[in-house]
Amino acid sequence: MISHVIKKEILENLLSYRFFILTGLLLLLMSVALIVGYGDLKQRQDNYEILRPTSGNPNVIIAPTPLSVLAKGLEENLTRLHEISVLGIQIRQNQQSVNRIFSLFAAPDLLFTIKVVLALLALLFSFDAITHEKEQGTLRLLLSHSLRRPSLIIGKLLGRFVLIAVPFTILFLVFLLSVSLLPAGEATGDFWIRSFVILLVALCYTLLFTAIGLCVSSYVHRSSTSLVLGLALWLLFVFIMPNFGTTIARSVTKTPPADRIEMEGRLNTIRAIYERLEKEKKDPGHSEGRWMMLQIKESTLRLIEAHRPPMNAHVRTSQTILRFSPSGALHLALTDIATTGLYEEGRLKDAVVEYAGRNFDKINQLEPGPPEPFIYQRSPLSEVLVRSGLIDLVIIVIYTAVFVIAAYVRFLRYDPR
Amino acid sequence: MTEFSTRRTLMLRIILKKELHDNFLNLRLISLCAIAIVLIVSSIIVLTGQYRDDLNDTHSRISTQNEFIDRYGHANRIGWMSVLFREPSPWRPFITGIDRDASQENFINNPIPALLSRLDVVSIIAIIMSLIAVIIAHNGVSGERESGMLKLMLSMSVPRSTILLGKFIAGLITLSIPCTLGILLGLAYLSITVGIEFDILTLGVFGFFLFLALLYVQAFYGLGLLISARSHSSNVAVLKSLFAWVVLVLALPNISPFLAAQMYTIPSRARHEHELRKIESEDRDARIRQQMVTAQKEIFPDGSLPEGISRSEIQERMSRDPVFRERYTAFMKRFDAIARQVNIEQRRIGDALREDFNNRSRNQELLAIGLASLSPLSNFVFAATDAADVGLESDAEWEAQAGRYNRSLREYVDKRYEEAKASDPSFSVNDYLDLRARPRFQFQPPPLGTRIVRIILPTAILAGFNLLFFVAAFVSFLRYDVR
Repeated sequence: MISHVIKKEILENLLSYRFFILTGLLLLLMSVALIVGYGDLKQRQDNYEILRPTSGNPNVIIAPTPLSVLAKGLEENLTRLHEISVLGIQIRQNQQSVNRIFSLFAAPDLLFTIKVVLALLALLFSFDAITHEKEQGTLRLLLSHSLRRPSLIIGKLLGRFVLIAVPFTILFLVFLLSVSLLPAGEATGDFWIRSFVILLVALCYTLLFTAIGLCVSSYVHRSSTSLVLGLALWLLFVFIMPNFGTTIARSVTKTPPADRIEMEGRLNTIRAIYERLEKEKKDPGHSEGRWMMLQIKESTLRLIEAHRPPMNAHVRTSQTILRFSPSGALHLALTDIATTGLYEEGRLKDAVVEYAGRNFDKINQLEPGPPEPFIYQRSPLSEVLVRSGLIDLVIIVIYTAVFVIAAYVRFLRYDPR
Repeated sequence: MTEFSTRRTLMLRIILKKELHDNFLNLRLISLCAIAIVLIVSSIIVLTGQYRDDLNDTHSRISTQNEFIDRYGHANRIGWMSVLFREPSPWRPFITGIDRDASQENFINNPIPALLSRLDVVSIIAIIMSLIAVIIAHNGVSGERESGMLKLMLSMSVPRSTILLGKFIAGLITLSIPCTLGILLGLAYLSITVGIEFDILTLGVFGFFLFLALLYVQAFYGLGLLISARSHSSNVAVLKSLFAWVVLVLALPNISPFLAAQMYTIPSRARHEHELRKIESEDRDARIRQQMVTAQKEIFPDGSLPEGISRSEIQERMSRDPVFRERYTAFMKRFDAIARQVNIEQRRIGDALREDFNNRSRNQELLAIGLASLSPLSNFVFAATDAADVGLESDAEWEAQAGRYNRSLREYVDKRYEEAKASDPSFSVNDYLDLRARPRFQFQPPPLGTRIVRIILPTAILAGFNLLFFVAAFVSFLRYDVR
C-alpha cells in the first residue's frame, strides 16, 4: 500500500509547476556553486604554487583540497602562508583577493546550497502534503478506502522525499564528476568516499526538512498556515539559531580581539630590541643578539600559550551552541568531513605551533643547520568523525527522527473533515 | 471632478482600512512580526554588550601603546610602535558591516567569524523582514480572486488603481511597524546602557537607516504584489515569489563577487607580489650585475680585477697600487651610478604594475558591486553600511586621516631627534626620546553630508526597484482577469 501512495505522490507532483520551478532553482544554484567553487580552487592552487617554500625556507603553507568546492568552510584560513621568523608566526594577509565585497556576503558554495536552499525546497515540497488533500476533500476520500493512516503518512513522506532527493542526487553526482574531470580537481579515492558521506548527510538533512514540512502540515488545517509555520521553522533553524548562536557565543566566552594579540606581540619584540641595544651600549663589544632572540622566543610562545586556550574554549562553546540547530550541525559536519572545518583548523594551528617551537633556534640561526621541512597531512575521515563529526551526524539523525515521529503521531489523530 | 476625487479618496481610505484590518487580524502575520521585533531587540542587546567590550579593549590598547611609547620611545621604530587602532563604530550594535575579525589577519585568530556571520539588524531586515513582506503580498491579488473578494470589490465600481494603491500603502504601514518598533526599542536600550549623543549625525544616520529599511522591505512587498497580479492562483504566486526571493536575497549578492572574479580576472595578491619582487629585486640585481660586467671590462681591460676577489685583498692592493686604486674608485663610482639608475628604472616598472593592479582590482570590485546591485538586498546593505561608516567606503576616509596623522607624528619625531642631536652629537636613532608631548590621534567620522553623497546611488536604485515593481504590478493588475 505504501508503494501506491509513494507512486501517487511522485506522479502527482512530477509534472507540476512546483517540481519544474524548484528543480530549476536547484540546478541553477548548483551550477553556480560549481563555477565559483572551481574558480576559487584554481586560484588557491595557483597561490599555493607561488608561495610554496623552497627547501630550507621555514614558511608553512598547505595544499588546497578539491573538497573545498563542496564546502569552502575555513579553507581560506587553512591555505594561508604562515611566515615563521623571529617575530613568531605571522600571517600574510589578503593573499587570495583584494575584492572587499567577499566580506559582506556568505560564499555560495555547495554547502550553502544544501544548508539553505535544499532545506527550503524540501520544505516547499512537503508543506501542503496533508492540508492540500484536506482542502480538496481527497483526504476524506483516501481514508474512506482501506488505506491505513500510517501507510499514508509514510508514503507521503517517502514520496515527497524522493521528489527532491532524486534530482538532488543526480545533480550532486554530475557536480562531483565535473569536479573530478576538471584539471584542478584531483579526485582520489578519499575524495569520493568523503563526497559520498557528504551526499548521505545531505540526504538525511533533506529528509529532516521534508519531515518538518509534513509535521507542520499535520498540525494545521490550511496550506497557507502550514507554509508560514514551515518558513518560520526554516528561518529559525537555518539563519536565526546558527547566526544568533555564534553572536551569543562571543558574549559568553570572551576572546581577545586580533588587534590585541598583534599589539602584544609587536610591543614585546620592540622592547626586546630596545633593551638589547641599551645593554650593548652599557657594555660595548659584547653582543646581546642571542639574549634578544631568546627574549622574543619566550614572549612569542607565552603569547600563543596565553591566547590559544581561551580561543579554543570559545570555539568549543560556539560549536555547542551551533549544534542546537540541525543546520548548524550540518555546517560543522560538512566542513569537517571536507577537511575545511574547525577541527582541521585547530589541528593545523597545533602543528604549526609545534613546528615553530621545535625549529625556532634553527630558523633564527641560534643553532646550526637548516630547519626541517614542514610535513602535514589533512586529517583522515575516521579521525574527524570520531573527534568531532559524529556528534553532528547524530544530532541531524535525532532531529530527523523527532520530526518524522511527530508527523506520524500527529497524523494519526488528524481530523480530515 | 472634485466630487470624483473625494470619492476616490474615500474609497482609498476604505480599502486601506480593510487591508489593515486583514493584516492586523491575521494571527500568523502578527506572530511573525512579533518574532522579528524580539529578534531585532535581542540582537541589539547582545551586540551592544560586545560593542562595549570592544570599545573598552580599544581604549585599553591605546593607553598601553601610549605608555609604551612614553617609556621606550625612540626615533628608529616609531612607526612600528604607534600602530593606530580604530574605535568600533557606535552603530556596530545595529550594523556590523565589514567584520574585521572575519579578515583573519593574525595567527591566533578566532575562526568562527570566518565560518558564520553575525546576526545584526541589517541581516534580520534583509532576510527575515523581506520574507515576511513577500508572504504578506503573495495573497494580495490572486488570493482575493480565489476568495471572490476581488470580483465583489470591482463590481462596486472601485477603480483598480485605488485597490492596488490601498494595498501598497497598507503593506508599507504594516511592515513599518515591526521595523520601527524594533529599531526604536533597540536604540532606547543603547542610549540607556552606552549613552549615545543625539546630535545631527546620529539622528541623521538613524533616520536614513530606518528610511532605507522601509524602502527595502517595501520593494519586496511590491515584488510580491507584482507576482500575485501575474498569477492566477495563490499557490503558484507563493512559489514564484519564493523563487524570486531566493534568487534576489540568497543567490545574487553572494554570487556577485565570485562571478565578477571569474568574468574579470586579476592575478591574486600573492602572484602580484611575486612579480613585484621579481622586478624590483631579482631583475634589478641581474641588470646591475650585467652592467657591472661591462663596466669591469671597460675599467679593467687587462682583467686585473678577477671574479671573487675578497674585500681584504682589494684593500691590500689599493694600498700598494695607486693605478688600481684610481681604477677601483672609478669602478665603485660607476657602480653607484648604475645601481641608482637601475633602481629608479625598476621601481618605475614596479610602480606601473602596482598602479595597474590597483586599477584592475578597483574595476573588479566595481563589477562585483554592479552585479550585486541587481538585488535590492545588496543596495540596502551597501547604503546601510556606508551610512553608518562601516562599509566599503569607510576604509578610505580612515586611511586618509591615519596617513595624515602618521606624517605629522613622523615630522614631530624628526624634529625632536634633530633637537636632541644638536645638544648631544652622539645621540642615535635608537636612544630614548621623550615623546610625551607628541600629537595624539583622534578619528573624525565623516559628516552627514559625505555619507549622504555615498549612499545616493544605492538608495536611488532601491527607490527604482520600488517604482519598477509598483508600476509593473499596476499594469499587470489592470489587465488581470478577475474571474
